[in-house]
Amino acid sequence: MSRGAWWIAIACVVAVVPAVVYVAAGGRDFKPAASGNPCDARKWPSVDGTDQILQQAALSAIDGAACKLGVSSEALGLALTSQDKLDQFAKDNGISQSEVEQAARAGLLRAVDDGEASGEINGVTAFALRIAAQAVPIDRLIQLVRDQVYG
Amino acid sequence: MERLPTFALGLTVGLVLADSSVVILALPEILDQFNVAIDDVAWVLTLFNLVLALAAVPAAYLARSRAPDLVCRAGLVVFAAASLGCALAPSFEVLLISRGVQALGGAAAVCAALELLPAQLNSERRAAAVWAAAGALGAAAGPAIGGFLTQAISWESIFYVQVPLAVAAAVLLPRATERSARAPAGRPHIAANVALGLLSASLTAALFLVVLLLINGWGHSPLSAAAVVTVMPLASLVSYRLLPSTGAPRVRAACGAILVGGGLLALAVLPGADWWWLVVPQILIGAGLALALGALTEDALAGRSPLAIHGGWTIASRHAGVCIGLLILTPIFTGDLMDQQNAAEASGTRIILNSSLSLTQKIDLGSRLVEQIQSGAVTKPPDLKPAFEAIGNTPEIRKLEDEIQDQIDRAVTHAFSGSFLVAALMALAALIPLATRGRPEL
Repeated sequence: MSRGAWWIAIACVVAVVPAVVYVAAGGRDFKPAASGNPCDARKWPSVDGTDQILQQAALSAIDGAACKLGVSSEALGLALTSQDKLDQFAKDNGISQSEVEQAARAGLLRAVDDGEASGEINGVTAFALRIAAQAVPIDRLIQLVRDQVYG
Repeated sequence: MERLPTFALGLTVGLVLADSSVVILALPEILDQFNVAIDDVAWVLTLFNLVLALAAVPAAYLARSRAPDLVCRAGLVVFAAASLGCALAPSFEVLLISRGVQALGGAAAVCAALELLPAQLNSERRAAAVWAAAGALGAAAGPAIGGFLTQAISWESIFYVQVPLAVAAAVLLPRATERSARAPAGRPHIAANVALGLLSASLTAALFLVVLLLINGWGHSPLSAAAVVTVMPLASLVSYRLLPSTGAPRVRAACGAILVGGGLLALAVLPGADWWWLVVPQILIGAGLALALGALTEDALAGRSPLAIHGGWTIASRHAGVCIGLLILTPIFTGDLMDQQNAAEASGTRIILNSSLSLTQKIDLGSRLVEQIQSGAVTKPPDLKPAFEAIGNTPEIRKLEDEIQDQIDRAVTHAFSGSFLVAALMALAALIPLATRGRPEL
């Protein structure tokens, strides 16, 4: 190996060491936390009072609707802050009114599922809520979720 | 005092080439003062490099065909007058025109300086080495000096300071000696010049993006950012003294390109949003800069006559590289920044939605955060502290603030990763023309 080749080999080692150390220190993962899968069940924390139950239910409903629409829960959550944002969100993502309706109902069913799985909603109430989810007018359903999350 | 004329020539080269990067830290102030878009303000930097790249070779022919000492003096006078024009510019358009004129004068001064140096140092090789080193140090030190002056005085002071320096250099310049018969200029050393261009494109990232990250991403003041980026010219200076300046220029250039590539690669995988993570990559880049720029310039000039013409080609290659670097990296960085803004917004929303705050607090905090983000300057990261302080000072709220700030830091830092990675590849791509062993002129 020539002297020049040795210098180049040494330069390669010196050049690579900091990048390797930075990757080992978490450099490749130093980015915003990725959105969770909205289709995964949401484990409700131990809740106390109707307000907290409704808030958890609204968050589960957003997850369920986002799962149905194939978008992130956070993007849908931001869109729900106002009707204008929701309309823009539907336009940007090519979502029709009937898809919004299906998503909202899927969201409510998901909230019932998560609540029942967490033991906060009993079987009888869950059965009644599932029937209601199929019958409640869609605009009331969206308003209910918006009221619970954003007041 | 034989040293003074040599110092004046080094000062001329360092002063002009520092101008290619000296305004980097002043760009946010210039943007605020003239109320222009971010894309437009980048022209203060790009235009200087573009004009310098285009004017360098014609300026070298001018220095060759006329008395080089007169051309150098005239160039410095034009440079000084245009610097004054930049400092006093009443509008953004006048500032841009003055920057263009500065580059024209600078091109003449730098190329003529290379015509004058061999007589001062009694050696063409030493002349090329001093000329290359002065240019490399000037380019590396530019952002730190500019940042210090911007914070301590104002962005205009960067240009005011250049006026007496340029005038002093013009006064101290040596007289041209009799020259031998003028032979026609040979072909430029294409491999070395292409490698110089690629390396300069990558160095743009090192200087421009590190400064943007510190000031616009992490919210440092120009002064503290200047202190951090001083590491690069210091490393360059120390390496220039310590590392061997003998041996095949291609080997030194290859080692330098590898070190610059490694430094940029480390910047692409930063594990935190603290300034000290930037120190080691900058040391690598500074050392690589000292090795590669000097060696490539020497390689491009070795055995070629006249020096000024081939020096003009190296200036053209370097500054064309800077322009290409800016043109390639700016859209990558802008696109990544938008993606990361969305990612930070989504993760911030998730943190607030999933927090155990009451509904009223969530709504209050959300609207205050939006207000803070919208009211902030586009050149600085949003200050979210007032939004959190307004809703309370409980441990839970402080934890929430830390979590959201962490997500913003991650998003901002990650937004630069792609650009640093592309810049690292550009530095390593400089090895390709260097590998054309035995075929110095491709």
